[in-house]
Amino acid sequence: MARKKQNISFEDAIVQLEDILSKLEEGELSLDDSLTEFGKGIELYKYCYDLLNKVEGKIKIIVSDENGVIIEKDFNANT
Amino acid sequence: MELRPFKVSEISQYIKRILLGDPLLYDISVEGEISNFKHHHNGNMYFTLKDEKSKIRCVFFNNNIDNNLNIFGDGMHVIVNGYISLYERDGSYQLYIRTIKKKGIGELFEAFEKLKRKLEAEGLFDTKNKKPIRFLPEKIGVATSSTGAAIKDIISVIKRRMPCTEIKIYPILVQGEKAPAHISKAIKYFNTRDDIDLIIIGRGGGSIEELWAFNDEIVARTIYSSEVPIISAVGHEIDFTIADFVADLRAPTPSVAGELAVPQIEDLNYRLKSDLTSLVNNFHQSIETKKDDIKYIYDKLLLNNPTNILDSNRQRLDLMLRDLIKTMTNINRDKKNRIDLLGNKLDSLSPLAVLKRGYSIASDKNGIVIRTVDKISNGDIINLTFSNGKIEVEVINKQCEGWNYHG
Repeated sequence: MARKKQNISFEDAIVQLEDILSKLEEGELSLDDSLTEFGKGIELYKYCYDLLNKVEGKIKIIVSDENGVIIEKDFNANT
Repeated sequence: MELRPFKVSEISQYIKRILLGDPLLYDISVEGEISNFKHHHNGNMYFTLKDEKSKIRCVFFNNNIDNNLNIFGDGMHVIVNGYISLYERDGSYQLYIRTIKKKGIGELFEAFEKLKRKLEAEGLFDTKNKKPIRFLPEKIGVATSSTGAAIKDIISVIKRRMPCTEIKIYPILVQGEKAPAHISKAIKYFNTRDDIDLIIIGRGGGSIEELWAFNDEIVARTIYSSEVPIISAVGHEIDFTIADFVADLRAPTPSVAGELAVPQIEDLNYRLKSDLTSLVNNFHQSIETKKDDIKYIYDKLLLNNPTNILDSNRQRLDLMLRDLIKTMTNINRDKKNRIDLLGNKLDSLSPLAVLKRGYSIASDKNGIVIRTVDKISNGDIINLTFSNGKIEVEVINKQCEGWNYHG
């Protein structure tokens, strides 16, 4: 089965960010490219940061309803 | 003659002697389920062995330190070997155990080894077939009992390390006949979704029988064919199951499965923060470098500016002009001085000055100064010049000899 993922993964994003760091560090970029790369880097940082810190991941339990259809319900570990 | 009444201890001793003298009861094996298990701190075990109808008290004096008695407990089916005797204090008979072993354990181990060899030969355990676990799985499917300690451990560890992780729990039976089918179904279900990055299957610790579902061949093959990577977390560190060998990663316990599944958010946030700092610093540095480059070029340009050359030439010209003027002035002044000096000198040498001293100058009619009398004759008209005028005179007496104006 094909696994689709439209968004770039955290690990890919942080690797790209660190690529940009070293490109800027080398100092071989033109001014235009420096600006572009810097903008991209900031975007990647925000993307990674949001991915980690923006939302609390939900915990769901997978059950069958009365018609045998599989549904997800909130899971409470204490019940 | 009537027998005297026995003492209780006497009758107990008698019964004990009969029991110990019985060839069957002296060396028997009995199987049953352990209950009321007590493991005394000195190593002795006391428990009741039972079946559906009956019970017998058992005691095991642990004289052999090699015996691992920790594996026994209530509800366990065992086969014991020993003898029946009487415990005189209570007047009850007991089974004194010489050896004890779990029932059926030998067969289970044999089946385990056989399946392990078979699947290993087929390549189900090969490292090259193991799928990489994503660095940061966003959604994790967990197949385990929804009520055990395992699910609580997994959730709390994952949530502590990476709160943003989504967890989908597929509740299953983890022991008993239906457990293998449950485990397989859960794995297949997670594979029908397209959003699950990682599956954790597992359960808490238990006896080998309780963990047995994870040694099932169907389970092993389902794990192997799963497209989603699987972490297997069955029992404790010491427990190894077939599922552990086939899974992409084995976690020794459910808690460790949580740790292996996700990185720590603090570590990633720290890495991100330092990346951001470097990004800003590196960018500024690159701009500064460019500024320096431009300044260097600008300076160089200024240095070679044609206006600059003009300016410097103009200044040179000015200086030269000033020098010229100065030199000219000096020359003029020198000349004037010299002329004054000459004038004075001239003045002192001038015939006029001599005339003032009382001399006069004789000259002929052509104005030529007469120095000697040689060309003068009597009757010549000559001029005499004095300091304040001239006179014409006639020579009347020329005398050559005896004159020596040098005196």
